[in-house]
Amino acid sequence: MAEAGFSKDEVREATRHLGLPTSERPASPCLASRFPYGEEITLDALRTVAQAESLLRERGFSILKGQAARPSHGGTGDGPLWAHAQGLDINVRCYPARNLPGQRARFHRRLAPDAAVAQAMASTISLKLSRSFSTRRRIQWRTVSALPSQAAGSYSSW
Amino acid sequence: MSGGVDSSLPLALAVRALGTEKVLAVTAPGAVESEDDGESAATVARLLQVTRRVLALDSLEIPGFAENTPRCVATCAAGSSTPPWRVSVGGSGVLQG
Repeated sequence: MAEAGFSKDEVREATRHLGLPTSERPASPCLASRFPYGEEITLDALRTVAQAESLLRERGFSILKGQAARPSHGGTGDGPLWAHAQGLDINVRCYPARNLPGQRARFHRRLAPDAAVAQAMASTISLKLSRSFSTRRRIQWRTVSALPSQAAGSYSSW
Repeated sequence: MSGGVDSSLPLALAVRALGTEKVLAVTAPGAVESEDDGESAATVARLLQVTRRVLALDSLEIPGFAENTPRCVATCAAGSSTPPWRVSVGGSGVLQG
């Protein structure tokens, strides 16, 4: 559709016009887009992402923004995927467990001062995810950090 | 068709242009799709009265996919990779949403 000159909004408008039930369906890009480039994509890791996102949906989050930061969309190529609810954006990305401490440290350093609530909520979700996936399933991938919505812009190429 | 907004539009347009009997909806679900995509694909195909085929395609077997390089992903996103399923379903043209 992009090749035919349709913007995303026009695609939605056209599907609405045609009465298709998908017109308001949130973007659902390939699950592989949750992995930083160079991280190997495995079946286990993909299943973990799918479960992590199900868990977020169960908690009232919906996936809003997809591949805006991918090279094919003019971005940096290290594109995060965002879920949004209750004024918070949750950044769903997958790192190998061995890299997680470094990533977390970086995240906390850059966290906005007014993000205490977001951080608390992220910690809760993160804890639940790591319990679900690290101990019970022994899967070595985790996701999750959280930002308040208003700070999301400054993290878009993070 | 994945069941998302981008693939249901070309399907609907193809049906308008060619009629349901000349259109085949093809879904290749795999681990890279979200779980409710398949359901949505089935709903749209049913609504448009199009026959739908579900193919077993494992994205992880596409050369270079698992390595997750920017080049691989850009190719995938642009839809310019050689669709391995085209051989299986035949047809004179493929629309990818």
